[in-house]
Amino acid sequence: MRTLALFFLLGNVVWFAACGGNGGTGSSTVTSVQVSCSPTTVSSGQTSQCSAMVFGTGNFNPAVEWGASAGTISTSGTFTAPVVSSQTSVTITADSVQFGNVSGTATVTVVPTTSSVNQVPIVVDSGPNMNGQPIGTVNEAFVTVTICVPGTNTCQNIDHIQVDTGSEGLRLLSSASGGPLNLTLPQETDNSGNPLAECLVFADGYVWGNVATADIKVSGEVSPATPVQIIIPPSASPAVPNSCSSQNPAGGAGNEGGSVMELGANGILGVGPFPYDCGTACTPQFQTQPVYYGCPSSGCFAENINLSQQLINPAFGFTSTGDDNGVLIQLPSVPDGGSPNPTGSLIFGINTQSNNNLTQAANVYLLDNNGNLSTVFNGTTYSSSFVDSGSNGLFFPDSSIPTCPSPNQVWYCPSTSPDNLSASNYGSGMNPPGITVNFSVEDATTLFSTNNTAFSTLAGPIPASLSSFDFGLSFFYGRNVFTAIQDQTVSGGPTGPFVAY
Amino acid sequence: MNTARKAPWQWALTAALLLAVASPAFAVLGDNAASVLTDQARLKGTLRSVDNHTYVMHEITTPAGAKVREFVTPGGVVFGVAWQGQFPPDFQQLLGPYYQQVQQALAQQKSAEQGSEPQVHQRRGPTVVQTSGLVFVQGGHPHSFHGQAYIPQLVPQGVAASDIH
Repeated sequence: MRTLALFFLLGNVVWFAACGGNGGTGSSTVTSVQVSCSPTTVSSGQTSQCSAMVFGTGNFNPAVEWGASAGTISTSGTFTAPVVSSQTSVTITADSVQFGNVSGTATVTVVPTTSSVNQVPIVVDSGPNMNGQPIGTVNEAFVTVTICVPGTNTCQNIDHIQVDTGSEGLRLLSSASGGPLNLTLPQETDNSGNPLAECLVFADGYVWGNVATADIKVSGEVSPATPVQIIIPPSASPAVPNSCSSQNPAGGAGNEGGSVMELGANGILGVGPFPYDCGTACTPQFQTQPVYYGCPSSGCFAENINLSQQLINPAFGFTSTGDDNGVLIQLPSVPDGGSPNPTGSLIFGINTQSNNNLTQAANVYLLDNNGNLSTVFNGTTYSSSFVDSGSNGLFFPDSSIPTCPSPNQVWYCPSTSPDNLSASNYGSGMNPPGITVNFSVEDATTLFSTNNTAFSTLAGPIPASLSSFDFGLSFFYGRNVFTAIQDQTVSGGPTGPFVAY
Repeated sequence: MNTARKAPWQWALTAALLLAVASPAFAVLGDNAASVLTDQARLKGTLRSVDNHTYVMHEITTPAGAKVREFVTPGGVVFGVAWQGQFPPDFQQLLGPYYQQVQQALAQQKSAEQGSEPQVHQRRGPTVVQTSGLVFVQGGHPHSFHGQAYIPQLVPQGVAASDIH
């Protein structure tokens, strides 16, 4: 179906008065039309908003006529996805009304609606929009999460929430940070009635903001009245305590809450191997940690709080279905050179439904109490290794692989690309002892010169002294990767924490 | 025999005396060994010291099991620190005057990654800073952090960077 629309983003209309070749005074020309749609992946029945930029000379007419190769599109560019049984690419077209032979296209990927209550689509695309453009992420796995004011039907869908098996808890970028969140969620308080805030530190940055409660809904799963973090920018109140920022080597600049670009997502869904984001170390009987803060108007102070007040791994909260012992991430194989916008699934529970049987993994690797396993690579044992969907590459030490020229020097550029390598993974307590894992590394500069968003061969250097092999999202493609939560039982399998693939 | 070399208990005594009279800031990297005790007090930890002849390693273990190791030259200067635990340490205190240097280097990395170059993508993983005057690395994830920082110019002869862990 085709409909006629007036293009309204006048700020994006550009005149090229000085362009040669076609510059007769008094005449007008439309030279090109550029189309973009967000999100770029939707499931059947969902919508994607498309917009067009019309370029021309003279006093041209910026109106466009919208078209879609399947589904429907409104006069204002809102595309509604058709029902599909398998992943389908739909071409969105915007034709200049004035010059019908000038048009632009974009592709929207439509994935089937999942019938399983515990399964939600993952997309690895170029990330959420900022200023009308995707921010350009690579190897970040995103899902859409629904949050609701507890016990109500006042809800919001938030897309581009990053799936992170390296942390725990749902964190949402506030509107002050440029995130799409527009619900007002009830603020959580400590036992004295002070508003609670949290500082969560990652290896390369930190986030700061209030703790609120929300019903978290993903696919058909619900975690009711669950603590979540609302990430705020450095300029917002309450101010970042010094004891928070100084846990990060970048100091104040390590705050990733300033924008969608800095966080790389609209939020983070932490579904790692622990039930709580801090756990017993942050409970009142232990030494106070700079993680949770009471924030009266006089200023924030670090305080320990009960487990029930801490952020939980949302999967741990899906008790009503029994899918609360871990997650399975399924992503398709990605060939050398990468893929554009592949889609997969985040599935809740392990051995709880027909779609999360542990037999889909070849081996189960027990994790130690820190959530780590051991990796032997080039004859060296790295005892603090981990499988982390929130890292966007494989990070490991190999001084024989050259790093890329500037500005990509934090990535590997092997002289023979692909460089085919292998390591062995050992579970905690030698359970299991040494099973080979094969992987390849390609020249990152070449990978980044494509429009692909998913790379199975993207890797970067870290010093051997970190005693770590970080199996980031590159590792997940073409594998079924389970992450089981500490102390949660798995029918027919070991008790968590473990990873299995 | 280097006359500056002291047994661990001598270090402790010297440090305690310095602590008593000077009440130094928490800063340690590049500082004198007195700050080891300051850190022990701050971390409410237990102290274990090992004399490896080319350097002395002081290891502070907190009640929660986190470890901070400080590597001291025979001349009494902290040339390296290493840490591991559920949380990262307070870098402002641990790195002292070098904290700003790490911040500046990371800010430069970040602005390069977030610059206008379309073919540059931000790395989301372990942090590595290597400048001529300082090496800083940290890896891991919430629940398990580990890292090291050292000043190459201060590392005693015969000590490998890989010893600082």
